[in-house]
Amino acid sequence: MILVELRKLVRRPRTWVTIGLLDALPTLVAVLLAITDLGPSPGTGPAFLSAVLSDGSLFPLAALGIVLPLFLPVAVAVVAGEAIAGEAQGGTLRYLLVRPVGRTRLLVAKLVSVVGFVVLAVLVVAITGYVTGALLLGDQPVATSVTTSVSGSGLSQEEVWQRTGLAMGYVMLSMLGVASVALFFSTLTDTPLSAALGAMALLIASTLLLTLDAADVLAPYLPTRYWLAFVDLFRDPILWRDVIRGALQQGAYVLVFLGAAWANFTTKDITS
Amino acid sequence: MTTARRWCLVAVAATLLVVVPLVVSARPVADPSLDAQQLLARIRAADNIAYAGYVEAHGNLPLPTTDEFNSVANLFGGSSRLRVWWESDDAWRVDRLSASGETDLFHSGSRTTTWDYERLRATSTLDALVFLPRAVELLPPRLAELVLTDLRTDELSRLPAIRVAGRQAPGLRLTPSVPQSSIDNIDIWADADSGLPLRVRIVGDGDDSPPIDTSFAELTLGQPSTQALTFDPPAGSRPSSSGLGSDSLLGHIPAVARAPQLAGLPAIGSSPPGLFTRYGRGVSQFLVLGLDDDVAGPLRSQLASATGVVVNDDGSALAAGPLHLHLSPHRHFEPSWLLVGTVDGLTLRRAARQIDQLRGTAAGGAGS
Amino acid sequence: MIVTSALTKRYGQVLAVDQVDLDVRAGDIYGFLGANGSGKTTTVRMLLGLVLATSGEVELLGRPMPRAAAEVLAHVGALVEGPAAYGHLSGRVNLSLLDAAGRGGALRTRKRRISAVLEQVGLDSVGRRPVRAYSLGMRQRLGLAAALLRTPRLLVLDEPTNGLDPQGIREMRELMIELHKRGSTIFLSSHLLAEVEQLCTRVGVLDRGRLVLQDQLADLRAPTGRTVVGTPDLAAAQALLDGRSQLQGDRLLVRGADAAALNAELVAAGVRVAELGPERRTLEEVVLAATDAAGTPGVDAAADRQRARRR
Repeated sequence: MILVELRKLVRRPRTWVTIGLLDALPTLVAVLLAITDLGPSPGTGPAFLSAVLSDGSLFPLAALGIVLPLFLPVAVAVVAGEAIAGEAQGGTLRYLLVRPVGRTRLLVAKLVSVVGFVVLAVLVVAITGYVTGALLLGDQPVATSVTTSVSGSGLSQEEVWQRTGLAMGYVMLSMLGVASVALFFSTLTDTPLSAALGAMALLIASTLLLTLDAADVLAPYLPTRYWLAFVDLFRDPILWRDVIRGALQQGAYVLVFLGAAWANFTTKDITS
Repeated sequence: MTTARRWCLVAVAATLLVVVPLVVSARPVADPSLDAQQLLARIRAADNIAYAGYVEAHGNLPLPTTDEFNSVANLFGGSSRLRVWWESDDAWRVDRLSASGETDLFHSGSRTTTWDYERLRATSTLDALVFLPRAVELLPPRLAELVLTDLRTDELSRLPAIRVAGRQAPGLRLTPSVPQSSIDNIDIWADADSGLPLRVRIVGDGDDSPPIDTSFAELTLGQPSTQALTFDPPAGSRPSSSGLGSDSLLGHIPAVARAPQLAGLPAIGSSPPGLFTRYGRGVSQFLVLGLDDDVAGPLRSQLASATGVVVNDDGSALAAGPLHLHLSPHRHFEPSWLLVGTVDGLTLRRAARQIDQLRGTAAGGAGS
Repeated sequence: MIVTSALTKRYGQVLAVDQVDLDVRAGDIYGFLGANGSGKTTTVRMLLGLVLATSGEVELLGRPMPRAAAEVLAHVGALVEGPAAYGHLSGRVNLSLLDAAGRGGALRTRKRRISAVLEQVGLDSVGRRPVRAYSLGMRQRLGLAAALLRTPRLLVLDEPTNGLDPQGIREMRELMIELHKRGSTIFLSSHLLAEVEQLCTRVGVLDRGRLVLQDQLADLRAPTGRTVVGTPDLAAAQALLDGRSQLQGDRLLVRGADAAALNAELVAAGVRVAELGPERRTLEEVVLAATDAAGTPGVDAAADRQRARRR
C-alpha cells in the first residue's frame, strides 16, 4: 500500500508542479543576490542569506530557510489535506476501501507518502540550492574556502555536508506536525481545500502566537516553535537543545493527530 | 473498539504528552537545611567554579533606544538566549543567540572579542574600567555576584528551594533596607551542591512582572572544552580592534565635583575619580555622569519623544521598571547631568538640584 | 452469500434503512429494486463495510462484516454509485494501482489479468489513454473491469447501467450473464424494473428503507390461475362465460387455468379466439402492489412483510 501511495505521488503531475513552484522562490532570490550583491541587513531576512554572498556552499541552507516558514508548510498542508479528502472527492476512496485496504493502513500509507513528498521537496530545493549557489554565488574558490559556522569557527567541507544533511533531515522532520494535522482534517471533510486551509490556519495561529509574550506558556506546544532550530546545527558546538525538543514535539504531533485521524476515520461512514 | 473509546484513547495520549513533562518539571524539591547566611557563604565560595550551560534571560526594562545605548536596551528590554562556557574570570565565552545568527563574546585575559555573525565582524577590545552592560552580565552567577555586595545581614532571608535546570536550588531573598531604593527584592536560587547561582530575579517596587529574570535551563559543572573557548577570526570577516561603546562615551565626560552625599545617600568610594560618582549602598545606588552636548543633546531629544518620560523645569525623568533616570535641562557652557540608578525618581531629582547648587548655578538659568 | 438480519441505519432522526433481512444465495442474480432514495445505496455500502450499521448484522460469504472485511472483500468485486479513477492516469495504470493496493492481487499475474479484464469489458484498445479522456460509458466499463480483476465470487453492482447508451446496456447485460455462467453470484442494485426483470433470478424490493418483498422472480411471476382471452367476438364470449369472466381493456380475464379446455369451449360455441394464455403479473405490478401495500398499512402490508421476513 505504501509503495502504491508513493507511486501515485510521483506520477501525479501536481506533485512536480508544487515542487517546481517551491523551488522557484530560492532560485529567484539567488539570481537577485547574484545580480545586486545586496544581502539583507543584519537581524532581518532568512537565516544564512547574508552569508551566502561570500560563501555559496551555504545556499542550500539559505534556500531551505527561505521556503521553511511559509512555502514548504503550505505545500505540505495542501498535499496532506488532499490525502483522504482528495480520494473521497474523486470517489476513489470507496474503491480503495472495498479493494480492501485497511483504513489504518491507508492512513499510515498516506502519511508516508506525504513524508515522501517532503523528502522530495527538500532534496530538490537543496540540490537546486547547491547548483545555483555554486554557479551564481560566493566569490571564493570553492575548493579552498572554509565555511564559517555561525559561531565564527571554521567548518571543513565534510562538516558542512554533514551538517547540511542534518539540517535537511530536521526540516523534513519539522513538517511532520503539519502533515499529521492536515491528514486529520482530511479525514473530517470531503473537500481537500478545507482540510488544507484548516492546517494552514493552525500554522498561521501558531506563528502569530509565537510573537506574543502573553502566549509564552503555549510556546512549547506550538508546531512552529522549533522550526528555526535548524540554524542551531550550524553553531559550534552544535546546540542540540531545541533540535531535540523540536523532534520530540513533532513526534508528539504525529502521535496525537494520526491517532485522532485513526479514531475518526476507522469507523467513519464513507458516503462519498 | 467503538468510536468513543478510540477518541478516549487519543485524548488520554494527548493529555499524557502534555501533563507528564509538566509533572516531571514540577515534582517537589527537598529543601536543604541552610539558613540565609550559610547559603550566602556557599554562594560566595562558588566564585571559581567552572561550568557550561544554557541561560534564558527575560528583561522587562523599557529603556529608550539611542545609538549608544541600543545594545543595552535590547539586552534588558527583551528575552535573550545565552550559551556560556566559563572556565574562570579570565577565560569565558558567552553567545547571545538570535533566530538567524548569534553575537558572541570571547574573553581571554584582559581582552574581549565580539563576534557578530550577521555582520561577519569580529571586534577585539581591551577591557575598560567602565563599560556598558553586555550579555555576560545577564548570567545568573555574574548578576548574583553584582547584587550580593555591600549588604547587611538583616536584608537576607531564605526562600524555599525550587528546581532549576534539573537541580535542587534553595533560594535567598535580598530585601534592600535603603528607604530610597526602587528595588523591592532580589531573589537568588543557587545550586544546593556547588553554590553556583542558577537563577536571579529582580523585583521592582509594585511591579507585576520582574524587570529581570535570568535562569539556567541547562547546566554542566566542570571544565568546559578549550575548543569552545578559543576564537580565531575567520577569513573574510571584518576584524577591528575597537567598536562603539563605553570608551567613546567616556571621552565626553567632564570632571564631576564629588559630594560626600547626595539626597541623603552617601558617596561610594570605590568609583574612579573624575569619570562619574556613585551614591547609595548595595543594590540601591545611582550614578552621576556629566555629559557634554554631543551626547546629551541627542539623548534629550530621544527622551522628549519617548513615552513615559516626564519633562519639566528640573529636566527629563524616566522610569523603566525599578531603574530611574534623570537628565538635567540644557544650559550653555555647562555639562548636563545624567543621574541613573535603582532609587526612586524623587531622590534623583533632589540629587540633581543639589548638584546644581554645588556647581553654584542658579536653578532655572538659561533654559532649553 | 449475503445474509443480513434486522439491518438498520439511522442518520440522526432519519431512518434510512429499517430492519432489512436480505438473503442472497450462491448462484443468484439478485435484483435489488428500489426507487431513488429508498435506501438502496446505503444498504449496499453497509454490505461492503463502507457505512457502519446502526444495528443488525451483515454476513458476506458466510463471514461477519465489517469485522472480516479484509478476507471477505478480497473475493468481492464492487461497483458502488458510479465508477471512479485517477483522471491523469491510464485505465491500465489505474487497475494496476488498485490491484497492488490490497491483498490477493499477485504481481506475477497482474499484467495478464488486467489485459484479460480490459478485453472482457471491451476497453483493450483504449488502455493507454488517460481516464480523463474517457466517456462515461468507458469509465463505467473500467469500473466493472476493476471489480472483475480478481474473478470475484460475489459481484455487488450498484446501478451498473447508469449513463450507458442502449448498446452499452445490452453489452453490460450480456457480460453479467456470462459472469453468472462462470459461477459468480451477482447482487444487482437498480431502480430499473425492466433491467431486473430481464436478468435476475431473485428479487428484493426496498421501499422507504424497508424490504417489502423478497422472492424468486419465477414465483412472483407464476400464473395467477386465470386465463387471458383475446377475441374479436367480445360480446359473444362474455355471454358464454357469464359470471366467470371479467373485462380488462379489450381482453377478457377468465377464472380457471386450463387454457386448452377454455379454448375448446369457446371454439365449440363459435367464438373466434385471437389470443389465449395463462395470466402472469408483470414485475411492475408485483412491485407496485408490494409498495402500495407497505405505504398504506393494513392486513396485506403486514402479510407481505411477514412473508419477506420468513424467507
